[in-house]
Amino acid sequence: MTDDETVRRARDLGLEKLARHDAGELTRALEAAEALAKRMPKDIHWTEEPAHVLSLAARKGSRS
Amino acid sequence: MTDLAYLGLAEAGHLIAARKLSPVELTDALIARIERLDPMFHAFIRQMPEQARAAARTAEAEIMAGRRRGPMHGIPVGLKDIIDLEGVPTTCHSRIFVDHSAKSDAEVTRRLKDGGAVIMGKLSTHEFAIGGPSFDLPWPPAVNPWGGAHFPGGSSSGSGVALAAGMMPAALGTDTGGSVRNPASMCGIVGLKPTYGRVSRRGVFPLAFSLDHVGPMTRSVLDNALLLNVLAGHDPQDPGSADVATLDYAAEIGLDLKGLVIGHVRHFYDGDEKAHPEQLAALDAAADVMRKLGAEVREIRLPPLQVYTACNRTILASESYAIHRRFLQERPKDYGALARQRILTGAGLTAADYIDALRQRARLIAETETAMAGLDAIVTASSMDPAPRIDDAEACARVYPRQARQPFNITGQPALAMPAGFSSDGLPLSVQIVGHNWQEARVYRIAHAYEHATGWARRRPPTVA
Repeated sequence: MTDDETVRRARDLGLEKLARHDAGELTRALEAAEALAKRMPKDIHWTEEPAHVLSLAARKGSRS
Repeated sequence: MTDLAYLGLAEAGHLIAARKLSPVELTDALIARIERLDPMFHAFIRQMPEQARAAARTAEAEIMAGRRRGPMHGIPVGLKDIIDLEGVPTTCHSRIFVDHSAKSDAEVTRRLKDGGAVIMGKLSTHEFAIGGPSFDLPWPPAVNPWGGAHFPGGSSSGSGVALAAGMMPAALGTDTGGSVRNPASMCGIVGLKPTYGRVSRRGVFPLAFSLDHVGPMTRSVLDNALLLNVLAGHDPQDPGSADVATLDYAAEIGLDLKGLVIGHVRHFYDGDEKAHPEQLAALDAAADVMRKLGAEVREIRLPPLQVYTACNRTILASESYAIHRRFLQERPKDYGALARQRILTGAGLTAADYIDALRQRARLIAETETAMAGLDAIVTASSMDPAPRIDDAEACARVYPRQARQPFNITGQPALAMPAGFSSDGLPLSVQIVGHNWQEARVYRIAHAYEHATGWARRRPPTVA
């Protein structure tokens, strides 16, 4: 990641203060995120739902 | 004379009930020990001797008047300093929250107080339960009494240290990627991550909502079950709390292992990762002990450890960044470097990355359940290595990827870490026992039988004898 890219990402993320403090730290974090995302399996089918989906309890007295 | 420093919760409770031990005497003895040892081990963020003495006097008066509340009455405990105690700062071991006074008790604090426990103070953690061991914070990191200059694990570091050093018989920790079980493993004590939803997290500063658990930490399995009995129960004000029946979690303690079937997940520590030779041998020996105690122990396979780990890290980084984003934008320099770096990873993940991790999580839960069909529990590694020296930053950082705790934050299952021997350097080795959801009592049964057969839990750190 170039310095310009880091500055742009910092601005997009609202992290300009952090980038002024230590731009290298943000670069390392973003690169770590990229590496982490690459380690996730890529074979998830579109029918597979997340572990936590919205689950509304039935209200008392409601028709089922 | 009874060694009050290492008196367990159950034994102290019996002596107090029989009026052979005064809660005031016990509390005073532990306060004196804390004042002597804490400058070396830094278990505490905040000691509360006067409040503790007052609570002990109240407990004593109630017990003498025949109003004993239960096994926790008059028992000293400590709270990891991300857990709220009304009127006292919850610092999260961070400059960000140095004056952040809690307006009310966390639900677990309330339950401890209702049980008559004596709260000794707030215990060290990694900053916001993620960044440590750090030397750039307002308080030093806790140091392991085993070895004298070693990492105690984290993030519930102070809880593990306080127990190992004989400062108290019980403490609370929290566990998002293994933070109860890591210090339990490194400090030679017992730590349980209960089933997700079993213990309320209301009033506990979150690290990652869908992975966070509060867990009991003690020096024995029985003590751990007794503490869980006080902590467990539905809390309608915690969205993650489950409305399930509470049980006597000590009910199966003392039963043997005959008729139980235990899955042995060797590939986590001799395949996916390669544990330190002494840790590996201790894990294989633990499975053999369970077999000799009458259990059928059979080797099984779960999905690769690295798949669980990547899933946990993606969810944890995403949720924690959402929690900390505002502080990181406005006050980045008030974080220690380790917490800032670890939380910032979430800034680089996308919404799609997070959703895919949640979808992967559902798959891992299903695959784990399938692999555990017909089993009572599984046995596997907690840590892959004994504790490194605390001044060896690279070795401390390696503790986090080299472990097998994160799978059970993903699945939500109850998972207990406990001593399984000692390295040639005299450092604790550990084993992890994992049950089906809501079956903590079965986990305790296996752990207690193993503890009774081996006696590892009776050893004390030579540095604090």
